Amino acid sequence: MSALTPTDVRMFLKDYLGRKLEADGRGAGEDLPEDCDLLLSGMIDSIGLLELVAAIQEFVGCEIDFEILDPEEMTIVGPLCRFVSEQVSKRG
Amino acid sequence: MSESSQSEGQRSRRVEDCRGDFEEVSRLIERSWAENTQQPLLYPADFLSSCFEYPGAGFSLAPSIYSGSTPLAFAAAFPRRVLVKGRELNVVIITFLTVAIELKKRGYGILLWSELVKRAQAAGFDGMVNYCADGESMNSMILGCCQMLQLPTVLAYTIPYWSRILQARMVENTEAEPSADVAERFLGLTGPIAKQTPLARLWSRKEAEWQCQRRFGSLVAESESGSRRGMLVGYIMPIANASRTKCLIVEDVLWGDLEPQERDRLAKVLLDRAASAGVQMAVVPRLGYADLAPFHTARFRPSQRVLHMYLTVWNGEPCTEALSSVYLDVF
Repeated sequence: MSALTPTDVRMFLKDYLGRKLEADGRGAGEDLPEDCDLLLSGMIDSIGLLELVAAIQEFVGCEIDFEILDPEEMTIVGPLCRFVSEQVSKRG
Repeated sequence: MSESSQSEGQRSRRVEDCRGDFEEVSRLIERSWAENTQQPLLYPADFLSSCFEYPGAGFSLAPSIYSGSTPLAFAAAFPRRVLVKGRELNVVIITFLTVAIELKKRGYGILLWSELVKRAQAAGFDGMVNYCADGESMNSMILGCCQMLQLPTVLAYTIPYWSRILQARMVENTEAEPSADVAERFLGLTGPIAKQTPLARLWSRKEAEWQCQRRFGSLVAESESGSRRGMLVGYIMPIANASRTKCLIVEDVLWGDLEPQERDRLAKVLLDRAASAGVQMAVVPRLGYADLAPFHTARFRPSQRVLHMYLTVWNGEPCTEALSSVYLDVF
């Protein structure tokens, strides 16, 4: 997958988290602001983060090395989406 | 000790010792705990079995209720020797309190827990530790239950956790496995903690051997730099999710006299070794007895999991106030 924009990743995130929250009986969130911390907001827990990483990699069709992303930014929507987009772009 | 009287309405069920049927007990725990608000660990039969191999552990401290050959309720207590504000105490950690889904809210949990307290008292222990997850029903009941049995109990410590995810990878050099005398070095490193920590676990050599070598999933990383030495000990457990994600629980953070960079490197050795074993999640409870900066450097961040540690001392002067730090295993 190439030319994946941060907006594309965010759309995926919104869809993925919506389905996840609904499955948990918590109702899908309506908005996903740039500065939303997925962990602190309670949308996901540590296991949820692990599952999200796997889901993102499945979505983009390649492995992404999240070790190079600042851990403070890993759970924040904006930086996470930009990082995924950049990593996919680098792979061409 | 194998039977006890039952309250009204529970006469058809009798409390007996665990039969050592760990596969069945493991399944009971998994099914029952699946209703918890937080994703629990999976406690395989091998893990449960190894818990009962801990020196001093036994089925008399594991009251259970059966229907035929099927366990319906289970609880266990494991002995620990601790130093509490300079006083040596033999306590039990009460854990694995489990009731089959179909029997929940009928008083079996309280029945087993009370039975376990009675058994621990009769066996001569000085007190007990109960861990309750924040948000779970037992956390709102524990002080009342202790009061009911006139057991002086204090919320001794609230335990936040740090966690990080690990991407599965093969690490070329995970360094040599610890050598045979690891227990001796472990004892040397844990000794000083007891002098600095209000509640600290004390170890015998056999216990140290269990911790480092015999416990199910045990993982040890050591560092030696000149005369300086440090060690990290944890264990690997599956999480009770669909993919059985492997999780490293870091238990003994023994920096010894390592320099900061050496501590960072030791944390990396542990994580590399865990990743090589397929671990995808690592957690460390923040108990206050050790510097956790190297774990922050290693990308650990606060998780939402919080446990509360309740300390009961029934023999002699009770503990009446919260502690500033603790060194004890957390279930």
